[in-house]
Amino acid sequence: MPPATAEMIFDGPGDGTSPPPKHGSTRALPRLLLVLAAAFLAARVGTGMMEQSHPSLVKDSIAWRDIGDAETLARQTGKPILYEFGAEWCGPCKVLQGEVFADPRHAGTIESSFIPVRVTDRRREDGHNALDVQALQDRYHIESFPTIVMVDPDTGELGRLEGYPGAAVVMKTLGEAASKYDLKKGQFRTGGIIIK
Amino acid sequence: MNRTLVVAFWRQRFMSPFRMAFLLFIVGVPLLITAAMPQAGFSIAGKLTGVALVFAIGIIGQDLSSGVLQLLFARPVRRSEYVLSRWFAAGSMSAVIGVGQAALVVLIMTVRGAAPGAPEALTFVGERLFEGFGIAAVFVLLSTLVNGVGDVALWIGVQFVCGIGGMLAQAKGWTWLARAAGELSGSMNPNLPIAQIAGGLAPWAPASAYLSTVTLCLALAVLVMNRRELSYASSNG
Amino acid sequence: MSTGIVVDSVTKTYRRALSGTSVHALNGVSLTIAPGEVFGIIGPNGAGKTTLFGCLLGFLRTDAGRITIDGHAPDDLAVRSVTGYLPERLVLDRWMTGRDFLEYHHALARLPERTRHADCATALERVGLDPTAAARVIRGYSRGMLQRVGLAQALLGHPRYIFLDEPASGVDPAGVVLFRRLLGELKGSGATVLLNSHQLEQVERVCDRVAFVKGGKVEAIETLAAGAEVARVVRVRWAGGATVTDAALGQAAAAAGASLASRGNTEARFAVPDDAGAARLMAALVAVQVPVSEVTPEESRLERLFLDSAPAVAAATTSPPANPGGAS
Repeated sequence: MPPATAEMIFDGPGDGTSPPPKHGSTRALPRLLLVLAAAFLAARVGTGMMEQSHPSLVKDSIAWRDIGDAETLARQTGKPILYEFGAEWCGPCKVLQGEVFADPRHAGTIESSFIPVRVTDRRREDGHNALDVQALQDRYHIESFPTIVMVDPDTGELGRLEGYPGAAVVMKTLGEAASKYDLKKGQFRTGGIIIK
Repeated sequence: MNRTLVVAFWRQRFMSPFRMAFLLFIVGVPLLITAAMPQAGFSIAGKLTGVALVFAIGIIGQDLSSGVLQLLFARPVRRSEYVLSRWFAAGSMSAVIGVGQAALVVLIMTVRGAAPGAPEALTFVGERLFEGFGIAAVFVLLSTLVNGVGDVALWIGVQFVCGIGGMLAQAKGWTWLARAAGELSGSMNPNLPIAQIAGGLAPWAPASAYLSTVTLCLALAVLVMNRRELSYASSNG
Repeated sequence: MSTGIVVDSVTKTYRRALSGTSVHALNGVSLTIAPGEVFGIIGPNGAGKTTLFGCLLGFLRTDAGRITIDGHAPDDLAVRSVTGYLPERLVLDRWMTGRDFLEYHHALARLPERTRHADCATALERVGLDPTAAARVIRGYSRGMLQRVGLAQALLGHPRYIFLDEPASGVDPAGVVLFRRLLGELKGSGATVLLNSHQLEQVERVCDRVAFVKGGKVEAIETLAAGAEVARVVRVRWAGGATVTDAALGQAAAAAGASLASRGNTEARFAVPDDAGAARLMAALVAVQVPVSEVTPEESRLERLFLDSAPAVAAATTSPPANPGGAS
């Protein structure tokens, strides 16, 4: 091989001043990423189970109304009532509270579309419910917690959600009930403002 | 991370007239509505999904279907490097634009006399940062599974199925299905609920859910790309 | 230190999950390519040449056997660093300009940033793409321009191993001449070149050895004379009964720049450089009063490989699920 050609064969790319090429497969797995993925997945499962059994206390972002004021306020504002039936001992109720009612964005949307009323069952703690609480539970045949019932004060139930199927399903269901209500009333709602 | 790949991706996206027109629309319209109704707050700007989609749709699938990867992988570039660079490029650009939009929303609200509190503004900005990187990770995975821009169809399809699953779970009272559908649906839009954490929610569960989704998506994407055979001979036989 | 390419009993099968069929693209292919060799790969369509390239470049995983390049796996980073590749189906980043594209690949190849501009300018000059064209977006390039840019990126950084898959495909005659010149330069540079081409004349002209691949197997490996001109052999017949001397034939050959290979009573075989040479030979033979009645070209050595393998086999060997090891 002539000397000129030998000069053109380098041990590395470029003009020899580049660093020598690294070895290793182009298909090498990034070990750190795999370890992190496994670790975070385990943490997700563990913390999820813990949260289910010992839900953290979350500050509500919703201004709940009194049961007695609900129908009046609903007629005044043109909004349906949202009754949230729950209990202190109910785990999924805490998750619902944390993921939906404590989120300012969801809370804002709910408040702009409904008159929110929290109805808390006290039978385990006190042995009986307050009269208005029991009346509502009987009227809407509440059998489990949490149960969300959307109500038109004039015509009755617009829809309900039993159990907690996730924030997305909750917000979608509430949105559909609010739209149904607006359609019935012939009104249009945007950004919390009702246009008839 | 490969700087050349990251910069090339940014340039490619910004040179796409269709994507930029869409970006202008989804960034600009909420700003206009906020200017008209500042009392509506941050809910108008909403989630960063649209912005992230501008950068993330077809993030790998388009390279797979076009055939440019043959020349790229003939270079000393690890496949994992390519995947992670794509994620970083899309996530960072979404996050930057999301934060920029959030800053403009705050400015508009302030000018219109409805200035948000600092904690609320910081929460909104912070959540957008995480949203951008989160959706980019999901699309990186989906894009390795389908060529072209089929990733967005897959993304919509998964959420549709989760919605059906959620309704079925509600009807049948199947808590396990409700939980599974909720988790999968939430994984399609990973975010860190800083507002809820500030409100008292323990951070461990949402943080690990977010980080788990992002790292799992990236790890699976790397595994899929490593398995991919890149030769038109494999499609011709 | 470069140790060349070793392919040892490589098998590759494509399995179609939906149809349940499998295609045996490579069946125990073995060959060794020495450093600095220019090695040609020829064969009928569907023979497995592109699959072999895919395996050599690490794009495809082999089902059995082993490939090493400089002692490492084909998809090793160090191998990628010294490899240049020009695919047959050239798909470039269409939104980039030609120059941007070269600089992009220069960076991906981890070549020094300070020489980037100069290296890319040199590469463009080498492939005959002028700066104005290089400043245009690739989307508007002709096939010939695409091929030139593709070749330029393959040659960046003076790679030790260069894989050229149909490099002159769809290129105009000027491009073919350019390619021939570049191949000659590469040959002289000591790079190891793998050339897959249907242009047998070019393959014969530049390659040291050629593998004929058919049905996923290496049927033959021909060693070609190093640096030999591509001699085309023409057979000349003259009217029976005419006396034609060796001197006359030699004189005509010399005048035409040809050489007399062999002769008989009514015919002779001449090696001519090209078609123009054949035409000059005919004129020269007439000038020395040889009563030429017929001139026919003979097949080249490589063409004979194709013809000897007739009838052409099916492009693929398929195996339905019931016969997993089915024959072609």
